[in-house]
Amino acid sequence: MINSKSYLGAAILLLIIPLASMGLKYHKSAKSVNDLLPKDVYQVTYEFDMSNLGPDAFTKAYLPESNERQAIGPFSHAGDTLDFKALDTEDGIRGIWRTANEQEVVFQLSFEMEGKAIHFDLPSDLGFEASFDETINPFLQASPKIQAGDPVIVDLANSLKTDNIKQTIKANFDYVDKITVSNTGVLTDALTALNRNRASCNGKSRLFVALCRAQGIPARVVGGIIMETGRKRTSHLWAEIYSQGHWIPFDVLNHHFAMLPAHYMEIYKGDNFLITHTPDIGYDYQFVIDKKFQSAASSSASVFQLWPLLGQAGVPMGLLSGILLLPVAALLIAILRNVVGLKPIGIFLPALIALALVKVSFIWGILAFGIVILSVSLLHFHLENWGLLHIPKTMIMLTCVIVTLLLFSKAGLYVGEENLSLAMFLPIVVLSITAERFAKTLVEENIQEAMKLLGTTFFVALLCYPIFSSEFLLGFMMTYPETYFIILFILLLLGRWIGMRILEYRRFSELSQQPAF
Amino acid sequence: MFPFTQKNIIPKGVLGINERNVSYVYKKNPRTHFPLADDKVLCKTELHRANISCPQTYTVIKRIGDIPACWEVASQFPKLAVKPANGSGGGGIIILKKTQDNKWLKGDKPISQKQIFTHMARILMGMYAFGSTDQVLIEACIEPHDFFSEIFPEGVPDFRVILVDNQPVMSMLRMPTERSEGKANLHQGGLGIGIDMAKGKLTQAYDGKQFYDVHPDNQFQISGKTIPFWDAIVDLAIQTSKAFPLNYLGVDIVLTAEGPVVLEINVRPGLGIQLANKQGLKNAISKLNQ
Repeated sequence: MINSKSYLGAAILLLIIPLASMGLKYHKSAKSVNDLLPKDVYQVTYEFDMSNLGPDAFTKAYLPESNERQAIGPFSHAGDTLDFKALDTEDGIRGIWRTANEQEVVFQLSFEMEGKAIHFDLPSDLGFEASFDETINPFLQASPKIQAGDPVIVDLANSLKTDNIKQTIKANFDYVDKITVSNTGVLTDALTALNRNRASCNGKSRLFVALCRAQGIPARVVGGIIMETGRKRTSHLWAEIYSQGHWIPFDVLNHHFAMLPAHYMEIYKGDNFLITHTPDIGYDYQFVIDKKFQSAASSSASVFQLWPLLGQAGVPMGLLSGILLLPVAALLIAILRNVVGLKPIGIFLPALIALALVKVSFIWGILAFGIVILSVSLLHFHLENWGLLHIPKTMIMLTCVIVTLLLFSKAGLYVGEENLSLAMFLPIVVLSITAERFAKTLVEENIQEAMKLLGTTFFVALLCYPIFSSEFLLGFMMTYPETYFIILFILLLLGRWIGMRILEYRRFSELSQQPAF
Repeated sequence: MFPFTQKNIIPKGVLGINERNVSYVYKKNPRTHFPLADDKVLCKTELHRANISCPQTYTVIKRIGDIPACWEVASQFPKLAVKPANGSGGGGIIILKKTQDNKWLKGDKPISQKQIFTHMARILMGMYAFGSTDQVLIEACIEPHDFFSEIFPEGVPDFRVILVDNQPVMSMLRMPTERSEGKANLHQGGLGIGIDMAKGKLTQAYDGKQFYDVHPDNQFQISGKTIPFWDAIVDLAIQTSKAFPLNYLGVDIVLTAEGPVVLEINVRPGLGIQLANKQGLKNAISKLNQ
């Protein structure tokens, strides 16, 4: 009845084929494990809206360039056609749009940006450099908004300075860090930031640069945008210090010391304005940022992988991660059930709950889940007492789940807690099944058993949650879909694993006190 | 809590769920024959065919339209058990008694014919069979032997005998408690009482938490009591096992004044029986083959 030969054969094939294929693929496509990880790739769009224009109107905006820590894709224009020129300046590329006789124009510029985090180790025994060449010298000079020669700044700079350059930079960094953060984004020069003891990113960066310059350390401000999915108008300013032939980044406001995260897009150097335009016109702009999901290995077309599903087939990310990672969660549940001995509701149900919670938010989702189940169970109790037939009863439960969710969302709007309305995204069928099983256990067993069942289900869902929220796992499965065969292999082994479940050791612990048979 | 402490090391011979399923349930019982055990109507048909003593089947209702006609037949008898063919854990079973003026009682409370029909309709609609349609089995209601009232006077206790390849391996007596409300299943609060199969004597009782020598509700003696008709019970279990194409099963037997009758069979008998007997099933099986 049980064919062991074909079982073994299938199991071995399911292990060897994927391992061989993965090895080959790794050799071909990935230079390092990092290449498998989803990268920080963003689609960035500058949007401009100009109106009430005179005869000759312009917009000028700095545009990012590729360098060692960021790759910028080709620019593409959209909207009204304007005369466009890209000017290569000392401080960066400057895009200039001109129109001669339009009344109003709306236009966009889009490109892709991929960032990499960068981190410098400043040697702690480094002394000050005595002199710099001509190209660096300007970064030691005071400028209108970076008053490095002002006596107040010079005094402070001297008091923070030691023989050691790293210590000195750290002292400057810490001093500026202590200045109260203001979120107004008003342009603040170095001296004002110091005097008011209050500044946002630009004031802090200028003061930091001014202190360094006053101490003989070449420094400059750098402008850019922090990549966050959504629409924004704010740009960001941070600082760079020149040492040993490198420009090293510092962002006092966000506590990045000699490092810059991957989602910082650098656009221009120096104390400039990102965007300027003809004065006295109607003007609006915004940056639209959308995170894209890619990995370095994804660009290698020579091997079979699932990345094209996302790019070319246009399957939405949320749907794709749910589908791709469900077998991983299923494997985890199989282990929790057959090796540990946990007994949640249903077989896939905890995975489906976890998947739903990823889309909502764990805490609010669980809260909504619990409330819906408890209230619907109360109803079930009455339906049982009234002796209703199964099918109408189930449909009543389903309808009441929906009514409860609507009430929940309405209550959320009423008290101004938007997270409550997220409950609408919970899968209704999953809720109904959970409520039904909970209520049934409540009637057939008791409250402890029912709570235990619900608790176990939520616990298993909690363990499945990180699977669905892991970008690494998703990137891995997209690059190496062979992993499904390995999952099948483990499940095959599990299918004939006859060891005691961990919780059974507890169940039968009474027997262990008996003498061995 | 952590299972691998010194105290919790299990002696070899205890059967876990994984091993029960892989090495016994699936290996010894062909899947096609599972319905013989899971469906009470099929099981009864098989029992009657093999002439194994079991409660007399009065009628089987397959469609809602057949309820009145079938009730015409069943209501001639004074005491009935109404069961869903595919129920589990005793869900949906009601016991009906006829009074002298031809009214019906469910337990001590009167029940109208309309209420009885509604209950049967609910069974047919799959109320107790996880949504799939079901059948109603109406059979004779059995009176347990007086022996049981010496231990606990309520509910219907039954013997569970586990057989491997038609050989009885381990058995227990399942007894209701006040907590279990008439049900005898271990996980519903019943007592599992171990049996010395060679001597036909009760050993000790287990309620899922601790062991007793007396019934915890009334302190009546359990340990050492001799079971009447024990040899007949074992013979009936063997006879039943041989009648079914199943080689690992639990046979549930009720003892009446006239002797044992088979109530139902189970292809996935629970493992709590090892606790009631303070013995591992694998160990008991290996003793058989010596």
